[in-house]
Amino acid sequence: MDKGVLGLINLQPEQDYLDELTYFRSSGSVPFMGRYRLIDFAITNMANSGVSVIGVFAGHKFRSLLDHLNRKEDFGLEGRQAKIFVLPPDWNDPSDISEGDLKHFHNHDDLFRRFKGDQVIISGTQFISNTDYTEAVRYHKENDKDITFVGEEVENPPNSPILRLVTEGDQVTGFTHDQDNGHLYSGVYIIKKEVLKNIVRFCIDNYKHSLFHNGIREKLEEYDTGFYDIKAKTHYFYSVQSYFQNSMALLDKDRYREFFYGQKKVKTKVSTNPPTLYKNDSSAKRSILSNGTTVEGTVENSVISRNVFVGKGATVKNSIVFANCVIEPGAHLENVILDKDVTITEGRQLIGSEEKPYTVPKRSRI
Amino acid sequence: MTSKTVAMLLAGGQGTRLGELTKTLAKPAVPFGGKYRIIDFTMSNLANSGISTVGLLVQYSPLMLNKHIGIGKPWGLDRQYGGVSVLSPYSSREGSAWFSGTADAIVKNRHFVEQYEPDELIVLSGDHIYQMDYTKMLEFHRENGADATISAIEVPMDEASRFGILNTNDDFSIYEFDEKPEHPKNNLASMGVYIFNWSTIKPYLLEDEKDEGSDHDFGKDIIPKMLEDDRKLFAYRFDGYWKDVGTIKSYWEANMDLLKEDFQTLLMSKEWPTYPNEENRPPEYIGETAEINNSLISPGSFIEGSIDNSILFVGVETMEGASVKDSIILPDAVIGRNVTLDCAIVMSDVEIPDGTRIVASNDEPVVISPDTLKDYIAEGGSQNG
Repeated sequence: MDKGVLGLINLQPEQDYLDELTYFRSSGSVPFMGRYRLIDFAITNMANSGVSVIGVFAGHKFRSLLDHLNRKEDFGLEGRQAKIFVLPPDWNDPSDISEGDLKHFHNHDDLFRRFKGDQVIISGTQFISNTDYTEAVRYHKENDKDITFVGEEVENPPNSPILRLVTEGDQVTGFTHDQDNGHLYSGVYIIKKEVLKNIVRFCIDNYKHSLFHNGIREKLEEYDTGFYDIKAKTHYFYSVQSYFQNSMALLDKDRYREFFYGQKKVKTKVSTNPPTLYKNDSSAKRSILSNGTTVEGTVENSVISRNVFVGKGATVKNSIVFANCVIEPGAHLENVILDKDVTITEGRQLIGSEEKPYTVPKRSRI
Repeated sequence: MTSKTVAMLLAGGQGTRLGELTKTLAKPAVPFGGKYRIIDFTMSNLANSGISTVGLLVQYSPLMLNKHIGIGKPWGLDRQYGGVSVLSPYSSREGSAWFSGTADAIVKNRHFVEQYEPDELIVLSGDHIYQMDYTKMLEFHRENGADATISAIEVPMDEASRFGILNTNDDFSIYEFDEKPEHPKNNLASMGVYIFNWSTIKPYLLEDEKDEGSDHDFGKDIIPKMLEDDRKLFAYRFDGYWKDVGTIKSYWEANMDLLKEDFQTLLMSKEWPTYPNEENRPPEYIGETAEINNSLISPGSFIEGSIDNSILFVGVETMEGASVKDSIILPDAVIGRNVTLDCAIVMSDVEIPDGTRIVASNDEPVVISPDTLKDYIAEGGSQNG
């Protein structure tokens, strides 16, 4: 892409909406499908679209995020010019009156100032796909839009809190939660840097809290907007239940292959672990397992992260197990999410429901 | 301490007896253990021992090897001082020549060694599977005030004639080095790991370079010469796992050893990790029909069918009804529906058509490359080794 597009992942507006899973980490660094974290998809999509400089507005709980993003090469951001800037709160201006996520835009102004290109693509991490935004950017530029909202048009709109776009022609005229509206909004938008700058100014001058809600959503009629349908497989996250369902949906072999192992691979931090060891009398079916894991028991319809131990006679069914968990012999898990470093002691049974998976917080011993 | 030690890692060997596996690949670069290459064990030993100045001597088919090692990042050897340097044969004002032996490879690169003014030179091979702390051997070497120390391992007596045998006194000082003796006097075999005092070994190397009758080999020429001169040579006994993967059979065995409870620290150890040059691939997908027993599976794989006592590398796909037993499947190979493999080594990217049956007999694993695969299919899909 000629002059280049700046990538921005804004975690500030995202709540800690995943309950136990976001007790200790930001929404973007929640583990997903074994090796990944939710932010990987936004970063990979940007990298695959030729974006080489990405800023991440990290509001709080960003320790794991800093560690996860410390090698840009792992995410395919290669070359001297490529950068990932994780930008924690840094309120450096004594005359600063900005509020909400405007604080980030104001105090990290250098990110935008130093970038030579004139477009910015902004994303959150509550939506994932394996999509190249190159075409969306082309559409945005060719039509000289101020703001292009990236989403998808679906035939059977889901019953969910996903925000929808009201459209007239290819103009976006509003946002809604109307459950019959099939224009799902991904939270991704491409915006002219100049327009963004003016919105930031307006919001700060008028004591606004939210760049998106106050500066864009409430003032839509002032911009030349567009809607770009990415026509891709997508997943939206808005609760632990949706997190669980998305994980289970990706256990479909074809879906998993298409999503992770298609032409473009989802990238994540490279770490080193030995291959997964499946011992005698173990059983694994319809599951994904990550390296460093040893299986002696049974794993069915589940997602297993790195360095997990599943003991003899233990059963893990319809469950999600994060890294470094130990499931001792004879334990039984069903519809459960185990956060990192959890130990389930010998013979223990934990059974949640599909609608409400039982979530065990980090480092617990049960 | 460590900056005073320079390691020279011999990785130029052709590995002729590995047949198809080394047809276009240097032996140290041959894939091993699911996501590793043979040289990763030695590279990880260096990393874990804190030896950070390494010369990697390449010669035979080095493309993959060079790419794999790169600037040594996976092993923490991407350094401003020292680090890993790939040393290939080169031409100079004096002419150009290939490395004609292990000692020759070192002497031709003495300018590399000398820029670090080391006390000791460690000479290593890139084609052995073992986990060894070189610092302990260095301590032993220094305590003895030795000129040279050779690490040694006990091998079964009936195999001793395949190795360089060290005949030692009670204090492990060496009085004789028997290269592949017909009648070995004992079973203490050289592992091809040498420590030399640089100031001592340098004149020997220079002299050997001029000797036209020499094979320029440490075992055959340099060590015997040093013994002749009554230099202080010691054997450093190592009693862990060590395997020279010189043949297809031993390559297969060494891989299978990884599946044995006793040897699982080769990959699984947290204290002495083995570092691969890891790729960014998704976790493996284990399908509805998969039945896996005592096997290693690597990222990017899609598994169906029965996998028994086997090692599957990254990106492997096995289809429904496949039966893979005692086999090694190298990266990105595809095993079709209802394929039977018993004691096979399937090379990278090979796609085995549905229904193919390949069963090794006479104890010798079958290597399936794109070339040999045609033969098996032409012969009706049923074949032995």
